[in-house]
Amino acid sequence: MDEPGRNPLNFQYKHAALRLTFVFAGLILSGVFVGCCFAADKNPSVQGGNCQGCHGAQAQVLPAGHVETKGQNMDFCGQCHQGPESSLKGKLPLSHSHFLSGIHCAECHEKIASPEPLRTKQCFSCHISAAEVAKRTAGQNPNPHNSIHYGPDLDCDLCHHVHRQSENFCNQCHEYTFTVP
Amino acid sequence: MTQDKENQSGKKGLSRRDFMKTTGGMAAVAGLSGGGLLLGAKSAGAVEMPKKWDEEFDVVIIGSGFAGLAAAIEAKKAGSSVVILEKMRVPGGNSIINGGLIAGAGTPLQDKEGIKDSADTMYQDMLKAGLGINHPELARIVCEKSAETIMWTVEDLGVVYKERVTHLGGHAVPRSYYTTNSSGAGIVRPMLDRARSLGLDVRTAMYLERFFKDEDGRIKGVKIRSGYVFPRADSGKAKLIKARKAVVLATGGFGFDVPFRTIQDPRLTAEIDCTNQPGATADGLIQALQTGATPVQLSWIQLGPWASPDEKGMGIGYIFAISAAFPYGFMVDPKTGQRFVDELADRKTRADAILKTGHFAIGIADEKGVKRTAMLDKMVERGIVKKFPNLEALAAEYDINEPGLRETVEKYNAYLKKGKDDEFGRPFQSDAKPVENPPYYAMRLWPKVHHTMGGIQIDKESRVISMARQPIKGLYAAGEVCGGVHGAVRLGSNATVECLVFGRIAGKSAANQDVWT
Repeated sequence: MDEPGRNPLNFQYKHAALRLTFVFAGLILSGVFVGCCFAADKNPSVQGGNCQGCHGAQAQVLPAGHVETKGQNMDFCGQCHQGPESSLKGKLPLSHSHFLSGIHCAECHEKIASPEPLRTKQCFSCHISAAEVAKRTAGQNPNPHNSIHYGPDLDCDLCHHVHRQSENFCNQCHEYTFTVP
Repeated sequence: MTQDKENQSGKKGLSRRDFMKTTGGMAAVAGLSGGGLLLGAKSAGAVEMPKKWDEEFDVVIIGSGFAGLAAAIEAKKAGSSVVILEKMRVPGGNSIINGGLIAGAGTPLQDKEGIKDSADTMYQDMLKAGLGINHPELARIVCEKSAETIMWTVEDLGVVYKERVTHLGGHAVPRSYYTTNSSGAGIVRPMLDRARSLGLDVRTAMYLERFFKDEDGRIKGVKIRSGYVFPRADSGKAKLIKARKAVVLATGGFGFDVPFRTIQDPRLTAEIDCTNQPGATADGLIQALQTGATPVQLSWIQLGPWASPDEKGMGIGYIFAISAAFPYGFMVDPKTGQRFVDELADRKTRADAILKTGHFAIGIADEKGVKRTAMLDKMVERGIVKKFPNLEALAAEYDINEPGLRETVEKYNAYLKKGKDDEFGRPFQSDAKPVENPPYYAMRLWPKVHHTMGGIQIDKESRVISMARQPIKGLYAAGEVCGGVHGAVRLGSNATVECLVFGRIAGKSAANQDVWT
C-alpha cells in the first residue's frame, strides 16, 4: 500500500555530506545499535564511554587516534564536538547519548530482558513535558515540537528512535532539513 | 457457524483466508466481481460472533478526521458511550493537514461583503462540476446545511476564520471560509479539544481488521489491531470491540493507495505524486465493500491543479496558486506564453488542461496579486515560488515564449478592465488589479492526486446501503470513504463541509440506533 520513497520509516537527507556523515557514523556505530542494550543487559555495570564494554574487546568503534572515552560522559564529548561541523547531534545514536548521560537500559525499560517500547510520558520523567521540549526548539521555524498541525501532541518516538536511526516525521509531507537527534 | 458466509456461498472456491492474504485492493475488487458477495442477500458477509468482547461501547467510530470527530462529538452529546479508533499514530488523518477552507452558502461573511448566495446556487455549482452524476439528495443536504455547519464550528468549537471569504475555482461566488492558520488543523484541533471536553480521546494505532456482521445482517462490532504500526499488516494485537448501537466508518479516501487507485484509474501510478497523508489508503473502504456495501463511482479520482512539482505532497505552493495566480493573475503554457484554461474552472477542467499540454504550466501574479498570500516568503525561500524584477526575467527563468507572455498580459489586463474574459469566461474578483506591478511572482504547476470522489453508498441519514438495496443495520459512514456527494469532480473546500455535515448526521443517527441484545 505504501508508495516507494514515501515510507514513513525511510530517512531522507537532502545533503550528500550529511548523508555521508551518517553512513560513516552508521558504519562505525552500527554494532553499538544492535549490541548495546543486550550486551549491557548482560553487563549492566558498563559505563557510558566504555565502548569495549558492549562492543567487545577487539571492536574498533571510534576513529584511530580518538581520545580515550572510558569513564567519560556527554559533557566531556561536547568539549571537542562543538559546532555544526563536529556536533554529535543527529550522529550519535540516542542510546549512546543517553548512556553517556548516565541513563542506562533499566532506567527506561522495566524488563531489560524483553524490553517494551516506551510511551511518551515515560520520556517526560526526564524531559519534563511536551511544553518544555517545545521551548527548547522555540527558535526553530517551524518548531517541530509545536507544529500547526499537531501542536505539542506528537509522541516522541514518531521521530526519535533510540535503537535505530531517528527520522523526521514532518518529512512525510515536507522537506525540512533540520537535524533529528 | 465457524466459517464466513461468503466463503460458504462463494462460487469460486476462494476462501476468505486466501482472500485476505492477497493484496487488499486487488482482492476486494476481484472478489466482488467474482459474484460471491453480490449474490448474498442481507446476510452477505456475515461471520460468527465472538463469544466474548474485549470492550464495548454504544458507538464505535473508525477514523479521526473531520467526519469521525464530528460523529464522535454528536454521538457523545446525544448520550452514547463512544470510542474513536484511528489507524495512524497521529489523529486527524488528511483533515489535520488540509488547507483549512470550508464552503458555505448564505453565511455572515458573505452578507458582510454583500455577496448574494444560496444553497441552490451552491448545489448548481456542485452539479455542474460533478458532471451531473452527483447523488442529488446527498449534494443538496451538504449545501442546505453548509452555512449552519460553519456557524457550528465557530460557535460550538471556537474555530477562528479569516475576515474574508475566498473565491475558489468552480464556485459561482466567493463562499469559502479560511482558517487563520491556513490549515484544517484550525478546525481539527478545536474538534479534538471539544471531544476531550466530552471525555473522548482518540485512540491511535488502531487498525480496523474486519466488521462483525451477524446473521441478521447487523454490524455488531469490529476486530481491530491495537498497537498497529502503519503499514505493517502483521503489527499490533487483535482486539474485539462490541458496538452496542453502531459503527461509524470515517476512514477517508484512498488517494495514497497506489495499488488500489491504479485499479480504478490505471493512469494514476506511483509516478504521480499525492497530496495526502500516507495513511490515506483503501483499508476501511475495502472492509465496507467486503461486508456488502455498494461501491459508488470509485474511478473518479481528482488531481489538484494547484500543486507544485518543486515540493513534496500538498506542500505550500498551492497557497500562491489559489490566493494569487488563479484569482489575481493567470496561468500560461510556457511553450506559447498564452493562457489555456479558465484559472477558476473546476479542478478537473484545470488539471486535465495542464496534463494535456504535456508539461508544467506557469502561474503568475504581480505585487498587487500576492497581497492576500500567506507564507509567500517561505515559498520564495524554498524556491517553490520565484520573484522577478520584470517579465523578461520571469520568461527567461521558465523558458516562456516572451512575446506570447507580453501579449497575454495585455489581453488579460484589457479583459479585466472591461470585466469580461473573452477567451475563457473567467469571473474577475471585485478587487482585482491589472497585472503590471513588479515584482512579479511565479510558480510551476503540475497536478497531484488529491481526492477520491468515489466510495460506498450512504443515504440521507448516513446509513450505509448494501448491494441488496437495504441499509446495513448498525453501519454508518461519512466523509471521503463515501461516494456520490461530489459526482465526477469535487469543488475546493466542499470536502470539509461534506465531512462535517455527514459526520454530524452519522453521529446523531448512530446514537439513535437501538441497542442490540
